[in-house]
Amino acid sequence: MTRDRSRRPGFTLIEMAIATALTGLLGVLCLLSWKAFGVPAVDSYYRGRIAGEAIMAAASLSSDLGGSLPPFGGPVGDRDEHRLLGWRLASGDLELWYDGGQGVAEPDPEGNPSIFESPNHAIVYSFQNAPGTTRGMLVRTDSRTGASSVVATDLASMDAEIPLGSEERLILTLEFRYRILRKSYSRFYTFEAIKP
Amino acid sequence: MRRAISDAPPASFARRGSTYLEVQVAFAVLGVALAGLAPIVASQTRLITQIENTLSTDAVNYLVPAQHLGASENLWLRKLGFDATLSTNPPATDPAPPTEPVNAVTILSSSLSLIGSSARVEVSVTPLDQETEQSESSGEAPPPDPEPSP
Repeated sequence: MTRDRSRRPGFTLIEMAIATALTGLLGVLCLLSWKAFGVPAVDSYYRGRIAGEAIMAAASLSSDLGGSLPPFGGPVGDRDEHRLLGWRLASGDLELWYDGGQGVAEPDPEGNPSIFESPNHAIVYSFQNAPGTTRGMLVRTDSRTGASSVVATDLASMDAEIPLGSEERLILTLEFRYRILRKSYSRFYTFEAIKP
Repeated sequence: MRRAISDAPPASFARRGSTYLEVQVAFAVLGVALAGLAPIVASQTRLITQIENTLSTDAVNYLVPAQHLGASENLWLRKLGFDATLSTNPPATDPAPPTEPVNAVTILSSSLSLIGSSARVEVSVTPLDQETEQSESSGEAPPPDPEPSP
């Protein structure tokens, strides 16, 4: 067997070392550019998305905490009909109770009648997980129709508080969370409502 | 097999590699293209910041009902379905006290436009000290205030 002189020669060690060094330098440059541009771009995408979800939640709360929830046909009746009567926390859910339009039920310290009963109706805000995922959602349920709608997603927690001795105030804290490269970031939005 | 070997081009016709200058020009063109994306990223970041400033994460966002904005007549704004106002300033804790009503006002029907800023509300106004009932309609205007004297 004779040696084939026309065979393409291999790389020398110097060539390989230079190629490896240049490849490493290119990798470092790519990493730096990802950190400089990629991470802020992904971060701003998620921040915008979280802000949008928070704005949606704020819009829904603004609508419900305006003080009145008229029937779907529009506001009818006297000034106090369908007004917001009160709120309470039940199993971590926030319940807003409105006059049902069948006589104004006033809060009675003696116990009867309760404003948290039919014919009054409730709007319930609850924290739920999306089916099959760990993504949290803020869900609004209308007791009149039983219809539920997702108000905001990417929610990590919902904390509602009615300060003791100051029941006309309601403090709601929503925590939104997103992850970039296994690192999670949280943003907290605190809303405080005053009973109309 | 023999044919393939004989058809192989001689070494002088082998495909020439790129020169260093060509690679450098290619990278320069790529760099200019990537630099063209920078204003888009910057404008997107600015927009995101504006959206984020709509709601505060550092301070409490107060949801202020209409009647805490200064006038007892705003109870009718509440009735007509005005949303609570979003503000970072705490609301007035002592809203204007309601005056003694002299009329009983009931909305008979209403039609609020979601597109324009018009509203049509039919109301019934009954003086509290009279037995007779009078009805009146008003278009393109909010319902009359029950507090003023007749």
